[in-house]
Amino acid sequence: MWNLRQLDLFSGLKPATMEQVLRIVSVRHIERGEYLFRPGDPCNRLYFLHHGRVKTHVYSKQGQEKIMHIFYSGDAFGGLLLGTTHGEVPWAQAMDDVIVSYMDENAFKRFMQAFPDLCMNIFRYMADHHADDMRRMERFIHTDARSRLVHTLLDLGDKLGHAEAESFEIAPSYTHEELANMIGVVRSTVSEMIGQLRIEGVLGGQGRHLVVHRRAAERFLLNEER
Amino acid sequence: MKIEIETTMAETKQTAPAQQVTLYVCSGCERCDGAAIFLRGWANGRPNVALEIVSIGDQPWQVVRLGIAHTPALVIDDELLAQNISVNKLAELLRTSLNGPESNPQPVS
Repeated sequence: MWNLRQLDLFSGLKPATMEQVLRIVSVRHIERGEYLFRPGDPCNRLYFLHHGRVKTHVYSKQGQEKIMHIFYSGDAFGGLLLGTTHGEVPWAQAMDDVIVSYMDENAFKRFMQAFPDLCMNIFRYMADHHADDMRRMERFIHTDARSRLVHTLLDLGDKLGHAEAESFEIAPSYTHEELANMIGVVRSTVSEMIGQLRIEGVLGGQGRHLVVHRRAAERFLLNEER
Repeated sequence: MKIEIETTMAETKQTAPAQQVTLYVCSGCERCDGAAIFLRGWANGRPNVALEIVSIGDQPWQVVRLGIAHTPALVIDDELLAQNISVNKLAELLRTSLNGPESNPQPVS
């Protein structure tokens, strides 16, 4: 499935252009907890997320939820353009009140004809982020759980607009359970790791209020990689 | 002469077109509840303001068209002015955007 984070395809469009785009895309509201798609659904749409968060997840053989991605407003995702060899779609669930627009293949063809420059942006974006995803995957394969947690928290900070902040808070809406699902461990392991990282000064805050100290986190990762 | 001018000004105020103030909200959004309560109080007694409080689920097309990514989102006369806005900042924005120094809405704590 495509994962086009921060594509922001519609950002800055002139009103007249946006009106034309809205004639091509479909728009949908999904309530919190509802599913956009599930395994078994055809994987033939490209979604643009305008408001809210969507998580894609699979279930392990033991029935544990494994979060693959969390998408935010400005992100795009979906299986349009992929062939049939890419396996089943994951579960895609709204974490908040979600507004998406989407295109199937026919709509995408009309979109390409009407907005060739926007389409080129999509393709360039896909190529850049494929490389980023490969780097991220490699990092996850070769790192232990604590490093994966710290990497994930730093990535979350970047995504939540704290890329320049020395210290930032991870919203309490990201539970230990969800963090655990994102890095492939159980909740109690994440809670234990967070406690240890707080003692080491990499993290701060108390209880559900989790603060990440960026420099300490980056030093921690450098030391772990040696 | 002075009386005539004052009458004319009053007539102008009464016939001034209504400003459309729309607050987009979503369920589970704590800031949305506070902003909605504040705006209702603020709009009360302002006949030149047409206030709408809209759930994003009721107007998804508008959410996309206006570029709303976070709620509460304040739209005045079809222009998105602020998103994820606190009550205090909402009060300040309304004071500077609409009625100028005459308006001094008290934010809800």
